[in-house]
Amino acid sequence: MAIAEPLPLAVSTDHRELSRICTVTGLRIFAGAQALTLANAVAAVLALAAGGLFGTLVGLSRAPALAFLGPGTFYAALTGHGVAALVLWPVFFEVAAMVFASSILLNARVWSMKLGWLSFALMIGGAVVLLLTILLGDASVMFTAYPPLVATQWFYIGYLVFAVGVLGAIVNFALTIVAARAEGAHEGSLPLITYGVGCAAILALLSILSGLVALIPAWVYANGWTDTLDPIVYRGWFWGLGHTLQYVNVVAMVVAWYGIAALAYGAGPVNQKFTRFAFVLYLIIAVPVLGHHFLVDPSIGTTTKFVGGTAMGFALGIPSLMHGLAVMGGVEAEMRARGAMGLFGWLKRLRFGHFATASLTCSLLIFAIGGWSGTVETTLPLNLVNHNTMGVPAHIHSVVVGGTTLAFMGFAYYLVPLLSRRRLWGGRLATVQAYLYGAGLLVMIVAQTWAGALGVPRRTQSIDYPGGTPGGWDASMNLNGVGVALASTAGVIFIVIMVATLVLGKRTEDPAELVEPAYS
Amino acid sequence: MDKPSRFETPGSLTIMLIYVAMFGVLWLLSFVYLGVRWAIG
Repeated sequence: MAIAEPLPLAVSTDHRELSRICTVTGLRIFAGAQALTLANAVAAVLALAAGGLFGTLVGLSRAPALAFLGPGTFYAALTGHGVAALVLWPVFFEVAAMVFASSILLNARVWSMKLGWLSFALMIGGAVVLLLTILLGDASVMFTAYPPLVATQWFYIGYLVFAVGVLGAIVNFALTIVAARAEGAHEGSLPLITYGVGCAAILALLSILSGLVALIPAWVYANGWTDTLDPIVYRGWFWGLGHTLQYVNVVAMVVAWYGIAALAYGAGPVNQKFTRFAFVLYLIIAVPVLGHHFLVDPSIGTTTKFVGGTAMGFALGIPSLMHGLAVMGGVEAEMRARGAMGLFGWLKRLRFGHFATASLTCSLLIFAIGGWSGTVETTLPLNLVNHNTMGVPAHIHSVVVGGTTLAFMGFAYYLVPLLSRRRLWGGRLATVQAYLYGAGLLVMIVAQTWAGALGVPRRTQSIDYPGGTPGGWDASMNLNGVGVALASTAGVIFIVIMVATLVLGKRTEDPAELVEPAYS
Repeated sequence: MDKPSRFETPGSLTIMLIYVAMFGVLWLLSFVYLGVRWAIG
């Protein structure tokens, strides 16, 4: 496994940028790459805090026992939750991963620090504009902004500026890899993590281009410069952004799984070709699968829906199954090499009281649940019943929050101490945080699936219809509120741990303190 | 002489096979649920 092996220190001497050797990995870390990675990671945590706060308000308010938000604040909070938690948080973290994987893992400097900081500034600027328009109540259109809903033009400008920033980060990522090879800093195959992040970057590029095609006409329409904007055309291009971006998240999540496995257990995949092929499968299948967003649209033929939605939805499960097997198999093989016996003896070697095992296990388990519900969503006849019910957020929270966010949290517990050279603050608390977050999400997912099966609508401020609500609606949504409260508490603990690590964490270069093994 | 290759991940494969089996059963049960809803709807 590339990340665990010390790489040769063949670094270009043409650049005088300060660097150090990581005491844990033996990798050369340039000061610029370290600062840019940390800046993006901190921005990601702030975006998660914003998204989590909005989500807490939405989730608690949807519990009929509480229901404290009026329509205006509810739809603004729902928009803020989608933008901050579904776009800003994962994309900032993925840009941090791009800098880390292209420079630090390759023993190289960042190709252009100016471009790196310019991209970061554009992303921050776009994010601030987006959140301000939402907080001012000028963009309560939810993160999809389907026409004929119209937000202030600054909402679209915020999205576009953020996207241009990400585009710059992708260019910098690609040219950093090219420069690392040209300068001899790295030779041979790319490390698996860099390869995976590269696949995520390609998907991000496709999603941004699709997003520009959707959002520029929407911005023109918002300004009144055109009278019409075809909702179906907008939705097609928007989901080229929206759903492809979720697969950027999934690929980055898989990368985080491999990162945790490498650092916590010293484990790498048993078969590199198998895992790299699985990454390529995402590239092939992730774009056409957006057809499942049109399964109830009357203007599209059944064959197109079946192929683009249902068949591709099933196919997209294959690379995720492959990666799930590869991550678990890598850990199993490593534990067997260390003496574990029997079919499941390797599981007994894992420290389940360690944050790495907690976050990786919960992430794998909840993502697996999301894999099932995702296939239900993409199955045409099932989608006709489940469409726009709480069953949809049940799936989204399984994959994007339970899978991706938990994996990012687990990886951040390693990445931030390694880059800041500070011991993780509250290691035991991190374990509690991962399990509490997982438990809260499981309660939410069960409640939302239950509510979806009963037909409770999603994306609505109130289900208090005249004559009362059907049986089970209130109970399922109140249970959802309990899950939201648990997950929100764990989200706050994560942010406290990250901030406390950066501010109060004990300064150290000792590998044993920076990366504590998660096996016995 | 090369060591004979051995299957290194039987436990992980077992877990994945159990998952795929549960996945299939739950997916089929979703259709049963759909049928019941149509029947009583």
